Amino acid sequence: MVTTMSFAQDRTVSGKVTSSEDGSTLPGVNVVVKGTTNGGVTDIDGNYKITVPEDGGTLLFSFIGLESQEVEIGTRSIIDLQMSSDIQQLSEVVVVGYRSVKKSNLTSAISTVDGAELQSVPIGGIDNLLQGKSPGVQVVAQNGEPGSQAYIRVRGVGSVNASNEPLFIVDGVQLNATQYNAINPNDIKEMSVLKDAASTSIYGARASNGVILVTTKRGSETSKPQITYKFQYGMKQMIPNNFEMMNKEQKLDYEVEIGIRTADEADAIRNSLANPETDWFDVLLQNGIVQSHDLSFGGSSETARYFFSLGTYDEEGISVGSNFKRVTARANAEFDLTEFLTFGNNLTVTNSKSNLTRDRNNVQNPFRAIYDYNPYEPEFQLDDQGDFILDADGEKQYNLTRNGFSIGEALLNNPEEERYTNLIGNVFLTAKPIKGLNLKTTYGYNYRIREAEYYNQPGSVLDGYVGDTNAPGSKSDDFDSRFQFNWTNTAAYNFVPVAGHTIDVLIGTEYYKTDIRTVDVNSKGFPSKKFTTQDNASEVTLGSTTRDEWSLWSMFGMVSYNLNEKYFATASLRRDGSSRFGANNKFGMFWSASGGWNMHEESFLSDISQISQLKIRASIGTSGNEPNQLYASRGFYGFGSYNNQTSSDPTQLENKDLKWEENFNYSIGIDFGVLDNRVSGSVDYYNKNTRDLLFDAPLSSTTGWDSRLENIGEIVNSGIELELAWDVLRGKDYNIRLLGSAATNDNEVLNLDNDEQDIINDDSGLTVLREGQKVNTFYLVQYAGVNPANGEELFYDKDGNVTNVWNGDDAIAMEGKSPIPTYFGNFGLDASWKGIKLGLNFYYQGGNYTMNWAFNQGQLQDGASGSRNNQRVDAFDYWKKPGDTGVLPAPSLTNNVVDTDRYLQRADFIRLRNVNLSYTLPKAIIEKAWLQDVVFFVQGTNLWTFNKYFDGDPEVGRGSDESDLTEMGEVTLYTYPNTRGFTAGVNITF
Amino acid sequence: MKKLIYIFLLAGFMGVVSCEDKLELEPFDALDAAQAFETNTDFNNALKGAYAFLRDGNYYGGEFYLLPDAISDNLIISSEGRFSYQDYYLFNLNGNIAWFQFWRAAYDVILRTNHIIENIDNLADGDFKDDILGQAYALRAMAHFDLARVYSKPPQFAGGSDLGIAYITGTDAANLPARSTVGETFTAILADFDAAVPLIGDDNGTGYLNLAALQALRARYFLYTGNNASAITASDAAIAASVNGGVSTISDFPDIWDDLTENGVIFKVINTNLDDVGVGVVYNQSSPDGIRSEYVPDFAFYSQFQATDVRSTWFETSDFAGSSFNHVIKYLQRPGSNQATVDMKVIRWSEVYLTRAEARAETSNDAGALADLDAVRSQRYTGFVSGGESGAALKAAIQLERRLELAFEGHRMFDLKRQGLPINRSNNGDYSDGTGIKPDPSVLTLPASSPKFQMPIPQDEMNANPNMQPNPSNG
Repeated sequence: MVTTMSFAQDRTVSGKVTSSEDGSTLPGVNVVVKGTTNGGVTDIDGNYKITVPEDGGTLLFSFIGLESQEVEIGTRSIIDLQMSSDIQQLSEVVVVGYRSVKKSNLTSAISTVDGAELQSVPIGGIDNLLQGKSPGVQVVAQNGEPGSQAYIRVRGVGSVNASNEPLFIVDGVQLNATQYNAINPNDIKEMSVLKDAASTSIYGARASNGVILVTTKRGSETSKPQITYKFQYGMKQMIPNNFEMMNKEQKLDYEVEIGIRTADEADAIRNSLANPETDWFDVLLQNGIVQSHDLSFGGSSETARYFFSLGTYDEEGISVGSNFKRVTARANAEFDLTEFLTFGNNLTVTNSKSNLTRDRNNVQNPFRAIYDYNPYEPEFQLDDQGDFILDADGEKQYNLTRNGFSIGEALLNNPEEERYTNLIGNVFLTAKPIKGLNLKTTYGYNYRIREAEYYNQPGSVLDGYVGDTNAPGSKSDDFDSRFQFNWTNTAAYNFVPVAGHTIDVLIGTEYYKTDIRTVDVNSKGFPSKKFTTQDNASEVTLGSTTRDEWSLWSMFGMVSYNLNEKYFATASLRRDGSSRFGANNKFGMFWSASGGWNMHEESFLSDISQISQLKIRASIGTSGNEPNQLYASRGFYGFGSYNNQTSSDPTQLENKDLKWEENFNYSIGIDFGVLDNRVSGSVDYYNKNTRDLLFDAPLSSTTGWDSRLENIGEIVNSGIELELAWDVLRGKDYNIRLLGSAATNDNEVLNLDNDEQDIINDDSGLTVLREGQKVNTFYLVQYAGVNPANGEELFYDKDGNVTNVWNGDDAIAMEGKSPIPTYFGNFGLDASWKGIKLGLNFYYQGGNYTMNWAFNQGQLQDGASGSRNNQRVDAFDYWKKPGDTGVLPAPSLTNNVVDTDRYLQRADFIRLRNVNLSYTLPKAIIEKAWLQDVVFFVQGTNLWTFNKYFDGDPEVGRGSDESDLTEMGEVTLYTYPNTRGFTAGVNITF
Repeated sequence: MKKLIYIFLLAGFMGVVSCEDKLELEPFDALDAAQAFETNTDFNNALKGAYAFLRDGNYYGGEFYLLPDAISDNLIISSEGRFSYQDYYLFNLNGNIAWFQFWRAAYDVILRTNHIIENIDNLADGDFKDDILGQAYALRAMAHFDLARVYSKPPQFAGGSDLGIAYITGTDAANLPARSTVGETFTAILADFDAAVPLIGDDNGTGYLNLAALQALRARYFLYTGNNASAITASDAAIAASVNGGVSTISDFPDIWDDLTENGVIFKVINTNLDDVGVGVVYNQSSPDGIRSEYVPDFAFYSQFQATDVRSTWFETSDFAGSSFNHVIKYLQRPGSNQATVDMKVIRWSEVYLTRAEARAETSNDAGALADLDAVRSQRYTGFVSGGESGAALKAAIQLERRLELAFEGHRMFDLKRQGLPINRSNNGDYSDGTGIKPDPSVLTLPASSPKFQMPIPQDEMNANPNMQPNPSNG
């Protein structure tokens, strides 16, 4: 296929293009006369024929993945050429929606994370590994539990009630957030984060929070099999707090001062051998251990490419009874059945097992107990002589403490375990029947089994509280399976109607169906704690099954145009129908348009040698966000029981108009590189407008309803993203590169369609949605300090007058103060000298506020009932005599701990997220041992934190799962603390 | 070969086009609301659904049995408990500490009755329809009455502009009602009670309302609103409609609390082992170290339970954390159930007799009043001999017996409130001998005039409903 254009005076040049590696012919290579639109492509045998001006000129040969070449024609009429692969360009092919694009041809805001950056870090989930890796993507750990999830926010918070998590797709298969830790990070080749309309819109009604595409490794192109082994081992600890808890002496003094204990009683405890000083942090916490092994094989033959891996990841938590163990296996293989037909699969099977601590707001959670238990309360019961009081079996007896519960005992006797089996992958068939046409059909599957066991052992303290003395011990087993499949079909056609004009067209269909089933069985009455399965129980107390479904049916198309690698335009359209939408809004249509201009290709810039790259991009379009609830549009009567007979009652209000949240989004960006790309980077401005927000519109409780899910309101997020890399030194043996990113986010509720009424957060009651304010602006009564005359806590009422009466009605919206950061980013350093490499990465965020319930309110109770638990040392800093100011209120048992902005703290921080120091053995040494590569490394995570304002760890994810306080950064309660870790390891390639 | 592939791929594309109709997915556990009231079974199920919501932990499932006793003089907080509900006990009330979930729980029951009433004409006329409608009216009245007792003044102490509650008779979820006056509220409650009388069945079992239970609730209503004559009439009607006898005998009495007998119980909310609502957890939980109480009886009150009183079996004196307490074990456990899972007794025959006794005494029928009082007392004390009281002594004896008999069943605050009496705690400590930690001096009394007898309207409701007016106790 040769296309030609005629010139007034022209002649013909022809030739053959071959590969410099193996001499094979190269079809499809672009051949253009430089500075003109005149050109063609090589045929199947690598031959081309092109008309050139009589006076010659320059021929430009280009092909994706090969290094472009310019050849002076001179007077020649036959020009054969060898082209070599361009390593740099190969890595610059970016996976975008349903296709790949050369990075320099992108018209949208996409950032990529190389898999190598995610590997050998002692963190279980790929979501947490993304922190500080991608500009504009905020990642905050939900908590520090081994294998736990992170909150990921792409370009701000655009939803209140539906998900704010990006659509996560691995090899074309949508993942659920609980599966982020099911993917072995070592298997990842690359992650693409799609941020703007142009890139996300083709994912339609699921894409408004951005899309993260994960591509796993293929067989290496070299035919020689490559075997890699990776190992690391290390430890983890709770990140130390920046405040001090009371010791025994202090706590007893405090109790006497605030009047909950007489001086005599305190002295008795002080001198009692039965009440030695106890450091509950030491008793309940331990050093966590992380250990991972990873073995992989990759390679290719003429007609097949393969990658297999086996990995284990074990993390022992920082509390007894918490751990995460995972085994992953992967098989990715591709076979060329014929020259134009390829068949393959990507498959991962993962088993994980974790022991869990309860994330609840009382001492049944060890991370609350470490703060609450008093330092004069021993772990085990002691007699007057300080000797252990033993039970009939000669065992030490746990001290229940004044909280009536020993978590140390419960962690042993009330074990909770969760196991996941994940089967994630696809099989696909691609056909290239004619040149430029690529047909692909993919069947993706994602099967997740969750098994959870909770055993309240007979004889345990908790069983004594909640169990049946006649049928001791209780066990619950939950089993759920979630099967999701998708069938995706695409047809892509690439053609060059006129030399220099490249057009790509893509059309496709996609069908998703998910089937979720649960089985729960509870029993009681166990012969002994040795028997843990329910066939040993005397009575089944609960047995239930549930089933839910979800389906999505989509059609989509995309067309893109490329003029001489200089001007680019792309448009896309997607129509999504979802079972979750209301009858009146069953289908949503989403569109995008974008353009790009490689300015450095223009003659007026190409002469400026300092500019190596300059590109302008702009995009506009829409995407959507489905409701979380599967049947939210329907009005239902559900079933229950009364007197062991069927009962029914209204469970949901109908809303036939219910639909997706619609995101309208535009952005503009510049990519640049100067001085031979020594300094390179990009700047983006974005504006994301989310309309038809899914909202639990509050209803008067007198109606018998609290709320109904509706599409109301509008939120806008805008900001600037900046990414910069500077190669300070480039040398043969040494390199120093500085890199950094910054993103700002300005967030505002534009409209609530709710008669300008405030919408107060249901779960916490602490934040409000109000037009003109940020999403989840804190809504609190203002603290007015302490009355210097009598030490009373004072507040401001609605009218700004000082009062000693707290009234919820006096709460005001704290302008600009919300849990959403206004800026965040990372900065770091990559340095190498011969085989030694040092990598540093800092993550920072700020401008956000957190209600510090745990450490500011929980452990500074001003003498209220919670003061019977241990308190912070600063609790002594209270009003003592008339005239005292700037102090805590005078403590009293009748004090009411009420929510005020006294506990609201700014949570800015900079954290040294990762330090990695590695040494690569010289090739000369290892080659003798038949090794390709040997790297030793030591690594630290979360080693240092700068935190100016906040008491406790400022990286706040969720507050408390069991209290439904899971809004990112809203409140602190006693969820599993974040950890710092130190590991060492080795990576060997054979 | 190529042809085959084209056919395969085309079939793929075409095949999935039919997926469009796979977007209509029905849930596996619910009926479309529009189809919920078609058959007799539907109505039966919906009515049971209304009863089921009485089990809510914020209603008869717990708090309703604790708070009226904890906010008055029957209970004091235990220094070795978890200090649950302490703010109520300390009268630290505001919109966020407002017995706030009870508001929602009662209106949940009301919505469920309103759905039945709205759709009732889908049923054929006859006894079945009448009984369903009668029970729905009765439940709707009862839930509103419970709300009115918590949030509004009794009508006899209310001014014309004092606010009652919102009386809800529809199912419009967008409704943003204002409060009716106290007078309007109580008139509407009575209208529903009265509407139920000719409709409701005679014998629906103690887990459901029937005519006797309805009349007993009406008697409670009339006594509460100071209408002694009607209280007597309604009590008479209740007793006349009785299907399971009158006051439980002294030998049956302990079995009531283990759900081993229904004698003496007119209406109770059934709480099966499957429901497993821990009603008594608001009072205490037992642990390997003994019973851990949240609240214990005020020592002066406890001391009025004589040794010969069968009701002294409601208490266990035992140690927890090294101190001795008098624990209320009325709801501790029934055999074969998890702790604190017991049926929720809403109204018992002894209350009807004590109501009629009080109404008769107030209307100078001392002989009748004494007979009613003794009908209860004779079944509570071993070796009982009537005191033969009259006049003021009789009235005092009736009040004492009422306080003893209905203790820890959520009556005390309302009994003080309807009589315009203050709360006076005895200034004893929480230990079993009256020593221990005493109530804070500031909460020993609450004058009868205090606005805190009317709980604050929950802040959530104030936020969601611009037409809702606060109570003075909202602050």
